[in-house]
Amino acid sequence: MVPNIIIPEDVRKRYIERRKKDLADCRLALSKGDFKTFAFVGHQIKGNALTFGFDELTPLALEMEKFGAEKNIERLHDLLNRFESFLSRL
Amino acid sequence: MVAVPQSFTILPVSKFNTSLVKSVKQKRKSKKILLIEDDSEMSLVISKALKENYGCTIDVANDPFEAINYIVDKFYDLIILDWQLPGLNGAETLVAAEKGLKFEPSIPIQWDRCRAPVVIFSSSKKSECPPRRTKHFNYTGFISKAQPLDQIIDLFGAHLSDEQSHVKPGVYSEPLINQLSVASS
Repeated sequence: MVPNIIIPEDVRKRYIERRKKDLADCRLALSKGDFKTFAFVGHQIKGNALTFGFDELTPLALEMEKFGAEKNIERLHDLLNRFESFLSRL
Repeated sequence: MVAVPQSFTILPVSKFNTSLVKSVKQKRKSKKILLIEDDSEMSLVISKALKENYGCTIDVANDPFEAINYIVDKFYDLIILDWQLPGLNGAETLVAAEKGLKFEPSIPIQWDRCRAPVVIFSSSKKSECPPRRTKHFNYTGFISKAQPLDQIIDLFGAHLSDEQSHVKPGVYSEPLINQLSVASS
């Protein structure tokens, strides 16, 4: 068993910066009715959030994939607000 | 009896460059990994952790075509394959690499002797990553991305230490899908 691996702070910061860009991309996509972006972003965050120690993002990513596939605009708006609120707390 | 030339000097064992011997041994032990991953932060973190924990050398390909260039240039002890890549998926990437190996005139000789073990590393479910049969690649496992980093690195370590994973080219003991071991669903 490898010892607990500490992820460098600058890498975690870059990770969050990318998620902020994802948030902006998703807001733009929602305004255009482009739901594929949610599938892509949701899939990526689902895969990497735990690795970078941001466990709280995993359920958001799962919802992003789900509501994106359902084209549920209302739930996606709410989800993006929660995503933004999470990022602003970091 | 073989005559030893006058100018030929046989060094006693104690005069060998021990640090050189050590470095050669180290080199033999150092495994070569190709990480095919388009998420740059993920590839950075994974490659750093693999180097620090197992002392292996790692090439990172951020897209399928970069991966093909690496594959025709070097043989790898382990290929870590993300599934959703830009342009091609994981299986398509290795099929394209197979064509590269077929047509490239000067590929490393190891590609004729063994198949490189491939571990699928994805956020998707195992059932969403169906491998395709190829001559030079041996799918040996599936590791979910959605788990803590130390667990991921542990699982890669198990694959690195598995000496049986280098199967000779063209040997298939059972359908590929049955060979895949699920590390985490």
